[in-house]
Amino acid sequence: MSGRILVSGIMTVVFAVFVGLAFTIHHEAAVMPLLVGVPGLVLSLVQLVIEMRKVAVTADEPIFSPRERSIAIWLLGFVLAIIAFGFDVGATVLVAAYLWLAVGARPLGAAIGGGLCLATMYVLDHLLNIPLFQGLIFHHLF
Amino acid sequence: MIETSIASLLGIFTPHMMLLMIVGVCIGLFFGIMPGLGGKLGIIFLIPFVFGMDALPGAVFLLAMHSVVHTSGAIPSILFGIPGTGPDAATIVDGYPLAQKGEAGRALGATLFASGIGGVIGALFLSLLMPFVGPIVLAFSPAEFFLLAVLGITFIAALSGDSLLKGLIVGLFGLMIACVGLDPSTGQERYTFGQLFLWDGIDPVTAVIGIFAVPEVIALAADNKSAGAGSGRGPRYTMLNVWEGCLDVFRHWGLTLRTSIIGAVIGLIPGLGGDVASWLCYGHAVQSSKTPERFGKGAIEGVIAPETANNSKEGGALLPTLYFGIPGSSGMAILMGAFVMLGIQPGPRLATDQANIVWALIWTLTIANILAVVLLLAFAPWLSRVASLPSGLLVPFVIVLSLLGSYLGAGAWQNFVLVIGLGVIAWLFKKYDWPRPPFVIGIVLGPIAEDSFHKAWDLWGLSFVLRPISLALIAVIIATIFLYVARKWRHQPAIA
Repeated sequence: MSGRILVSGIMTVVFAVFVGLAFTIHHEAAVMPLLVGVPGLVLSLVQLVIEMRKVAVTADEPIFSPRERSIAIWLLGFVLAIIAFGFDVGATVLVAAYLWLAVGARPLGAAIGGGLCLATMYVLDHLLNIPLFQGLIFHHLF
Repeated sequence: MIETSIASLLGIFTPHMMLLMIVGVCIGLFFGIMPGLGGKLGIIFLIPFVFGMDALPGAVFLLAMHSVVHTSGAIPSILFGIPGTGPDAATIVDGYPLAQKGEAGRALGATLFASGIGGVIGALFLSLLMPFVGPIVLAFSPAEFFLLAVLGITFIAALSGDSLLKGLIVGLFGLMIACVGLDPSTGQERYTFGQLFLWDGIDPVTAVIGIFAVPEVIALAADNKSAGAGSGRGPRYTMLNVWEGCLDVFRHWGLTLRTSIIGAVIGLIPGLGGDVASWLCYGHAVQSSKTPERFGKGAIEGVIAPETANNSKEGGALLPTLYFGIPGSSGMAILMGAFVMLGIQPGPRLATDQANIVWALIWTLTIANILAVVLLLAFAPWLSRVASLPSGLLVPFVIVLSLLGSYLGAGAWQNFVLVIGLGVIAWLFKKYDWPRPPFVIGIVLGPIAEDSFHKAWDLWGLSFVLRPISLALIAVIIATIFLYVARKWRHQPAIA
């Protein structure tokens, strides 16, 4: 499927779902969602039709290049690591791993990067008293 | 007003505030000089560090960082022919040829002073408009504020991308996301799917991080730009050359003044942004020159004009951002999200209740721009080395601090899922030329628009659209759409 159609399709579905759900809530609370959602749905449908007509005359292109896909996977890895192990451990390990594996830094350089991340977390947590997420696994364990 | 201005200046000149400003300026200069980073990622990077700060110090810190990004963004443009930020691309046209002719120092000096003077004139422009904005804002009723939100989205949609339709859809998407949470009038849950963390709505900082940071990080990591890659350490220059460039700005004082004012006025118009300001002023420099044939081959005016405009536009852009909640540029859109997190709600109340904050921000613009020039002059001999660092090294830190910013916004780890979800949509937006700034206006103005709509409806019913200012705003909305359609129609390729 063309990426252009995909974006228009996603927006159409999002607005359709929001408008559909607006009918399930109190009419007073549904005013703004309908005021915004209905024009959004109509405009998205128009855009979808425009893109579908365009696709017939333009060549398709991949949505993600291999490099972009790799970065997106890394990003997902960061999120999962932080959800599981928190900022102190999850972020530090992933920063070092990224520098080593994705950037091609030497192990010492990657370790220094991880150390910098840990130091930043320490400053935020202990010096600036900003509460950091500890991770779901550590939260259940301790 | 003068008392408030002086009191705000004295409030800025405390050791704590000055330290914050110096640190902010240094970070801003770093984010500008590294190709691909820019002010948007800079703000996202700093959000965790301003969490918990008082509103004013946090805002001063972020604005000081954001306002000087373009000052250093011109350095890789001149030395390596790679723009540090998008609007610095115009500086390459004459800055890079100057460097190739052995006049890199002169071009750098002109850039620094032109940026500094532009930034100060932008702040002055904003302060001169202040007395006129207050009465205008106070004349607005809920009806006008609702229509102003619609106008803001239409304006940005028409100017920030190549398709009005796409811009409007994205703006409405932002307004729709702003509907998530408890309904303000009935208290009923809307689109929360039973999730407690959504009761207060989707945190604007999380939404902004998802929409802006994720695509930028992917693009930055995929490009892994390094200005000096393959070109050694860049051209050599002496401090004498740099000072010569500084003097060039005063030799062309008329151009400096004119392009500063043009830049500030462009900043005032939401959606136009830095690219338009710098290219328009470059064009003005060419048109107003007696020897236009020198441009493109190393004319110093071709460096001065875009650089003054780049920095002066920030002063103009701050006005609609603060008073109407309509950001003048995409950077201002993210800054606005950060201001909301700090407890500064852009809107009419700033004019009446928090004028001290506005004045403090004006002084911040002025002082930060002067500080940036002083710092860059001090470090001028080493700038080419900094500009040749690979910016890809910063990617993991930007990712971690972005996620931290989204967590701190609402204190919920579930926000990470929202960041990824919105980030995927935003990546597709970026890839397929859908403008993203309208989303931020939608999500920030959504609650104001809904509240204003309900109040206007209760007071006047549907006739709220017939109030004089409402009619004027509706006329501007229609004119914006009409002008967009006319422009598109004019630029349509002729069929042979």
